[in-house]
Amino acid sequence: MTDATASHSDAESRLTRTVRAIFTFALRKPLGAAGLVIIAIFGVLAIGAPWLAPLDPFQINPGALLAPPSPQYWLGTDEFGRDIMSRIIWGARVSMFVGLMAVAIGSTLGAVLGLVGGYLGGVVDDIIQRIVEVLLAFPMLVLALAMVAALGSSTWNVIMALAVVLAPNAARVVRSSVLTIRERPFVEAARNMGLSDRRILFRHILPNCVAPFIITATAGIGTTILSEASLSFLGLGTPPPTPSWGAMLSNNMHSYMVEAPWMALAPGIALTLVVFGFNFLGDALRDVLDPKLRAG
Amino acid sequence: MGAYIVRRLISVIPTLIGVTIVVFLVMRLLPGDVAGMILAGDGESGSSGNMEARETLREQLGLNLPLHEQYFTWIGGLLQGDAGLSLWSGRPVLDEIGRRIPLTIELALLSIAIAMGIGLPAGMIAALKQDSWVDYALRGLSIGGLAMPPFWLGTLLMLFMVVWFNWTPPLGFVPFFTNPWMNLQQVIWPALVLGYATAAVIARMTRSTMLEVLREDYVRTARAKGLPTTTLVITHTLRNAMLPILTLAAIEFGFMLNGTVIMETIFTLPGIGRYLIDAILHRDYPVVQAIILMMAVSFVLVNLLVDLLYGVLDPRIRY
Repeated sequence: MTDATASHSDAESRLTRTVRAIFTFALRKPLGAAGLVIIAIFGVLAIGAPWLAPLDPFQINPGALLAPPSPQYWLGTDEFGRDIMSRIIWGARVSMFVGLMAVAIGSTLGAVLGLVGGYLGGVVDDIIQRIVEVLLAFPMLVLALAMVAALGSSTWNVIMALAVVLAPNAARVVRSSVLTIRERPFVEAARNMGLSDRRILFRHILPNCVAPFIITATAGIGTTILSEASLSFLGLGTPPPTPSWGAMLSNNMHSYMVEAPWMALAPGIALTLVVFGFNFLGDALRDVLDPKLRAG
Repeated sequence: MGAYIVRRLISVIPTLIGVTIVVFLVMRLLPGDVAGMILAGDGESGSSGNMEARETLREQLGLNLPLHEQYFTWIGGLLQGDAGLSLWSGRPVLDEIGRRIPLTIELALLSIAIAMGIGLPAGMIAALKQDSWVDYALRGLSIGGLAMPPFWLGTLLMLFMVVWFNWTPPLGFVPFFTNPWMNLQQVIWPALVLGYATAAVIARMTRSTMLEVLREDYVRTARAKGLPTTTLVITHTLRNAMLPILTLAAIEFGFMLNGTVIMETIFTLPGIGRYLIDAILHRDYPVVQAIILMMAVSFVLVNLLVDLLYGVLDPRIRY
């Protein structure tokens, strides 16, 4: 088997290796694999929303207000007669987009701060650490609420607010790994060879911080999606009529939900599944990537 | 120990100052001009017209002063117990907050009590019966608590009670000291939802730290000596597993503050969280500013308290 793969072209052997790695991962971490599958499904829904959604999510239909689930409307309709199934599919777009963007921006910002602070030390590190500490003093949703209140609610403002909330955590994680890596002999060697700080930082230290960074980031996506949903639920996140799972559950809906309980089920189940997916993927990645835990 | 406490207390001061600066700056991020927004919010003046009214309002709010002067005026007021007037009701912000705070504290305490009451024993049982069906069932329940958004659980609970038990959300809130029984009937449901979500986190942590401690040599020795399981668990294992659990509980308290905002909104309880949302929607920014500051400060203080508790709980820590 190994001989056969080795004789094939480079690209193919890489493909086989990737497939085998995914397979081993699935066997060793069934929950993590389940998480991956869930994320993949919602990812496809999010990307393919325009083609996959059975109906127009914005189409108001006065003839079918609060219609129960039926072959025409799989998950029923809401108080404007809009198809809930289509709104769930389009909502995946909002959730995934906000979750991924906020984590990408926030974690990168945090990682750069942690990297620079941890490597340079001294006053720069002190200042960054104080800022991180202060930001960590706020309950996550409360800080995001304050920022959205100040900026006004729009998808990008929600992303920015959540990114700022996420950054300190990433900064902390990356800084602590930089502090241990900085003292390792190969960094010393690189320094003695006269390499520039920037080169040492980005070529030699950064690649070694990737594992903890990926773990924190993945685990953060689930929480971030929940935060976006909470903000939208409170009426301060994604503005209507954009379909967002949180807004679909919002308080103004409660009076309709007594008549039409299906309105309350689908968005909540979708949210739970996605959060579940990211949390389990994060857990599994931590077990696989963290060398301290790998032995067991 | 005394010196440590003093050092730790002093170390909180820069964080608190930083927190006030962040809150102050965030509230000044508002693009454009608060005064203009407030006037526009009244729906009377359009965009350009009422320059004079805007200037008067700016002066009233102190917005015409340079930024650092505004900050020091605000802090000076706070230190004298004056957080300004609510733009919405015109009454002192601290009075408004004071009326609503007991409910939020009650909700948070009740939720934490429920979370610890369920989470600790559940985690301990799961650890002691590792890999049995009890363990799997408890872990399944805690996975549910972790992934289900509290606002969804709250909504479902509410609907469930309305549809099946004809329960109606009470119109007027009854304070605890007026009628404890009526009050508990209103507060227990949101507390259960929040408590369950937090119990899940605590149970997970309890299970894993207990498993770690149970493998320690001294626990094996104690077991070999023939100590009854109860003594073993409570005096030898639990006490040593308590530190990370307590740290987590303190962090969870911060989430609790997030949670009260949502629960008070769902269950229409007039606490601080709901007041914060109302204030944001009304652009009542002195109120928003005060509540956010208060939440951050209480979060910092709870963490401080836990740090200080470490010394009491862990005899190995001597400062």
